Amino acid sequence: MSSMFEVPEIIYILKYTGLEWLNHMGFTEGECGRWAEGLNIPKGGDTILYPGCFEMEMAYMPIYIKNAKEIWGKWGYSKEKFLKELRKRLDIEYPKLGMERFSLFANPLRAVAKLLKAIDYKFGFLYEDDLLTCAHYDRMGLDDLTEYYIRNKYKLLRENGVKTVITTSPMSAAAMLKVYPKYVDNFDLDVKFYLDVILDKIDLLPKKNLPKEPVVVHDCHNWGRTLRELDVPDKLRSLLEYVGGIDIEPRYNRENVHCCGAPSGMVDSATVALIGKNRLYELLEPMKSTGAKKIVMACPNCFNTLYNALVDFGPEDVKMYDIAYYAATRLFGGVD
Amino acid sequence: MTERTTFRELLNKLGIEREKLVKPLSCKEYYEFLHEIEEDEDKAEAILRTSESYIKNFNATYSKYGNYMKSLAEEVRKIKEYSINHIEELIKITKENVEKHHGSFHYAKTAEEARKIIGGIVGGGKLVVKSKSLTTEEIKLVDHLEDLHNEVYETDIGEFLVQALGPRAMHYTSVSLHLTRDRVAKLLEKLTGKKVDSNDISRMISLIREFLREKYIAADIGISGANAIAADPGYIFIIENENNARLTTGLPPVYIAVTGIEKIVPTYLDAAKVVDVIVKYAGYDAVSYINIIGGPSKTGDIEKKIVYGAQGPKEFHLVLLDNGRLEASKDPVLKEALYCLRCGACMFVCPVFRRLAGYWGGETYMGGIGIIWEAITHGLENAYCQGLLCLQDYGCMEQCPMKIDEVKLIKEIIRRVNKQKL
Repeated sequence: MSSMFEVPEIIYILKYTGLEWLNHMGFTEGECGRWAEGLNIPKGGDTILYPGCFEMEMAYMPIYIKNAKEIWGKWGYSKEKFLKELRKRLDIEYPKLGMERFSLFANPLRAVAKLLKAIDYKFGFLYEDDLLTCAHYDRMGLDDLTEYYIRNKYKLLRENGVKTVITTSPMSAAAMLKVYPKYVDNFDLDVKFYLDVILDKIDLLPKKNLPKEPVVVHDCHNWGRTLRELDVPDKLRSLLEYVGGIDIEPRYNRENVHCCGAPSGMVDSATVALIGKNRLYELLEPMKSTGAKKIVMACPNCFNTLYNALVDFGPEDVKMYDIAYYAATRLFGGVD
Repeated sequence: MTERTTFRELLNKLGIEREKLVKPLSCKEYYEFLHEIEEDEDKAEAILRTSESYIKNFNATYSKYGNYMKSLAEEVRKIKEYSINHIEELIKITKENVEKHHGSFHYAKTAEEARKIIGGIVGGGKLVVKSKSLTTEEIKLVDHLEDLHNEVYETDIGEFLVQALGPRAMHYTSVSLHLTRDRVAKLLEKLTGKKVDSNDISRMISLIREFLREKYIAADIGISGANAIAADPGYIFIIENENNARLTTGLPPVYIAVTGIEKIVPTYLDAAKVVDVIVKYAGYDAVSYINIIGGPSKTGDIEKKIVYGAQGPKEFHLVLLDNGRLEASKDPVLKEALYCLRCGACMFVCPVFRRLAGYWGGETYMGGIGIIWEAITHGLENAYCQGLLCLQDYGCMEQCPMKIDEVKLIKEIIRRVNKQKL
């Protein structure tokens, strides 16, 4: 391989866009905050909700990847021409994102906000200034880019007087707990996961006599292993139980969970689709004996992969939910 | 020189097609190749079945020996850390002991040097039997010996099937997990000229046994790998279930052990501990055979006059291979990969391996750990595309008895290549 070795396009694309735009997705029109429209969440404050734009990245990712890959290499390695053309395309294509896909990733965040409001928790959000998680940069060994981004953007949190961040996914939690502290001197933000906050005051959520239903739980590998100190698997199940879900466990979960493949999605989506299929089948397996028809999880990246697997390979009567959205649907009938 | 028909030539003559592995020239080409594999649902099913079977066996072993396994693995991790830190000293001690016990010691800096050394010992026109050894695959020994007009047979049944049908070993212990019983039955029908029912696996095994039995008896040379080496007193440990390693190392007049320098540990007891960790983490309660070899066969039964070449090999050669290992032992990050015992425990819990088996990984060593070994033995760039597919989900580290942080190592490889290339 050495003589003709080439770094794949996605690495260059991330590096070029990340360095040039300080936001590899090229979001300019408030895409990071679009999910919060109409929720009246104040901008900034000492406690903020921190999705790190990850859910919105997931929503827009197919547009980004398609366009970036289509034009990659058209001008050799010319960064300027590539970025100019990509910018032009994204400005046209991003506004065309369909409501269905947008809602898949916006609804879980809207649900988190709704649940936090229901327990009377005060929080703000940075909207277009929401800091990226840098999950892809870190994963793909682009340390320089991660550092460049964090050094340039982290000060925004300080300027906004942020003291506490409420994370919404494994990516935003890992960013604040593992990645940012590597590059920020004296990192002293209080980092929480939204389920901690909700479970603290769960009694303030509406008490409804909800009919019980069996629900299969998928644990993201981050929750099961790399971020196990947060005890998310237990917390997810506590919220599930509160809203009437009966926890159905697939064969491999928690610390033994099989990853759904999502982390390599940007590198090779075809392989990831089949890894996702394997995991989906593990989740479907206990449905036969329990009658469960729903799957819940607490990760937008897993949701993206497993949802695609469900559409491609799963039975039509099975539905997939983020746990926050599932809870909000059960308690409030939805998120609007 | 005896004229010989090589196994490769025999297979060609019988029209037996060997699946080929494409050596990728770019990440794009590599991923496209993987997509072809992924579409083969029979293969996917076979890989999953084997993975599930491993997990079942491992859990049964772990439920019985869990505490013992954990504490022994921790002890072996320390033994390996010490050994890799003192690798040059241990090579020297091994050499002294092998030579003291009338063996020949050879040190190969590269794969090419190893081929040359072994080719020199074997010569041409010989019948060679070989038991399972990843190190010999790393140096492409079978092809080399066949090029020298030797007749070479893999004797581990999985390896034998892979030698015939290709494309490569798919796992350290479950070598042929990608081959279905139908493919094996068809191979054996062509090879033996007998009717073979694909549901009769016992019959298939006895046909292979029959085919190989005469080779052991007539073999000029036996070649094996090693699971561990005790520097003092220079013992070689080989784990097996089939008895093929015992026949390979015991019957021919010349025996050659080929292995990497990272397999050396200081003492007999250290090596025994390594062996038991491998056995248990490979999912076995116990294996059928553990062979310990300390030199050529000998006797002093007539007036205490020692004669070498009693009833087993007269010649014993140990070929130790460096091929990047020594440099890795000095690398603060990559050295951790040298602690790998090759039990294969990490692979069956890896979602990428559970879909692709050994099609994903390095040229010789498979799965996530194989990617790191590819970087050690063939350079960082050769491990890059595979490394990008690693999900970094840490299941491998949880399962690994040595707690090797494969994710950290793979990320380091990617980082270093990015630094060079971008």
